[in-house]
Amino acid sequence: MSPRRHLGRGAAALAAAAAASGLARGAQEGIERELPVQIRVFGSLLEFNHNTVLMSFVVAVLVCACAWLCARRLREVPGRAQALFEMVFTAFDGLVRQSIGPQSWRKYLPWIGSLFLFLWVSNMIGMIPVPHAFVGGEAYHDYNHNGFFDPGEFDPEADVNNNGRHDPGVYLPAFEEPTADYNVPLAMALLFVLGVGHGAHIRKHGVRGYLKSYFEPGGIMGVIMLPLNVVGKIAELVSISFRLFGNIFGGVVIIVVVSGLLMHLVVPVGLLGFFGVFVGTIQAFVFTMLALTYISLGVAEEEDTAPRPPTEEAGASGA
Amino acid sequence: MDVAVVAALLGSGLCMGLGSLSNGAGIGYVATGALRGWVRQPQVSPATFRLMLIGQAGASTPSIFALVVALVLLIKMADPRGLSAPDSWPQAAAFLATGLCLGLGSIGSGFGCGLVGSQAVEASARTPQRSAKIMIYMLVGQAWSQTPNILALVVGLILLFGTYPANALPESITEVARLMATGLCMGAGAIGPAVGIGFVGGKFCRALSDNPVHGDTIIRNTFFVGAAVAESTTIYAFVMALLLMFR
Repeated sequence: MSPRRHLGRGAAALAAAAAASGLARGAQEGIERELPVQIRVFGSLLEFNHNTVLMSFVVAVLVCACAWLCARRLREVPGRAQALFEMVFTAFDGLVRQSIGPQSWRKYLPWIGSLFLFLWVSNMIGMIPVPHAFVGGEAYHDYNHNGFFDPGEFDPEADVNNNGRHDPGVYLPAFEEPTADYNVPLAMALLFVLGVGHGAHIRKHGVRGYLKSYFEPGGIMGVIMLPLNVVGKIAELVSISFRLFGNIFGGVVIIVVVSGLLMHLVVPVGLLGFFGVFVGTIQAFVFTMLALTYISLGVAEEEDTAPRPPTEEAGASGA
Repeated sequence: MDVAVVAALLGSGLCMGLGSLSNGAGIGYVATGALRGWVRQPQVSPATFRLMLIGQAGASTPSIFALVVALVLLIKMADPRGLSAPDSWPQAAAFLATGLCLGLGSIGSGFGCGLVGSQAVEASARTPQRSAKIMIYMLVGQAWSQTPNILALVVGLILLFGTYPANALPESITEVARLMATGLCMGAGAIGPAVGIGFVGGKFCRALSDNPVHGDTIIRNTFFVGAAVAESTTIYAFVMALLLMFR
């Protein structure tokens, strides 16, 4: 089959999925979807948004399963799936090597590669049209068609265990982007910028060298600049996480509002294509590149600034 | 009509209007870079075109943020639960300050991202063999130029979802002034640094193509330090806005 027909088939499948996803989104509009689980820890109330947690696990399992299935039988002449993974791997291989340096880059490649795959799938998983559902619950008359049990909809006929109330069963949330909840980008930023980045900086330069980076210009100016350097490090975390959250959450808000205005006609498909595929891919890549940049600022090896031929560059950058 | 509703309408309009003020110019400027590049190297025009689209999508983020906040302002105004005290002047000031904060805060980033994209597209057309690297640094430069805008988004969201006392004007004039000052401080403080980072990022992409012989570590470090220093003034504004807000 020719590549052009492959592309056409892929585009058709994508458009169908996007249209169905738009419908599923529209059907849930205006419903209280959050059923947060509250846990009291050390006197303060923690709320677990189990929708986000569940979707993060779904994404992680999806990525791991795909990678495992591809890596199970590696062949000399790669198949389609293996070729795709090899393409992603080669691109990030080159990027990490150029940023970190030729000695310790292998250590950071799994982090960066899996970060990108996780965020990429996270940003696009909302396009898979899976509506929310209750599994194993008792039947009820859904008079207002909101998909949820309301107090007036109790059906005594369906009360299987005769306890006089409706047992809803297990709630399975609809597929939505875990990155549209600020907690996921914040967790990723803390893990990669603070954990991997600052941790690697401390390992390479010691606690002394790490603390020295807060007194950046040195001398008396360093003491003056200390509070600004601290705020600057916090601003790194804030900006990297809010960039991803703002873009993905903004896409969700715009799609819901515009779909409602247009009665879920053709336009939401284009919007999903732009915000789901295009912005989702770019923002996942930008988050990964910024994380890699922050890591490399701490651990970059001394590279020679001697002139080198430009031809070497053409082969090395494979993205 | 209640004062908070009026302020939300005004804030929403100001947010979207100011937010798209310079972003259109920036997105158009990316296309001029593509045209200049195409004139130099007609044979790489498909790659140039692709990079132009990516650059324009990256440059449209500031107005998307402004659009989202404008929509949330309108939704919050129409929702009876979102508006606890419709006749509260501090609430009205917070709505107006949110609109001004995001609207003004998007001006600089809208143009800065366009500067980066334009220079990067042209640089990529001049040296097509480095276009992969230039694309990555274009995205990093645009992301960096959006940092002031994102700090404005954070301040705007804190203002928007805060709870405010239902006070009339004479006794709450200090509250009103404080909230308005917060929005104006962050919004106006985000304009200059974003354009400055845009200059640095754009010229960095040009430097990558103008001097392909030397290792780019030195150029990259200059870019990072230069952009960080240009960014520091927006961090002053951010600190000042937080001090004003949580006085």
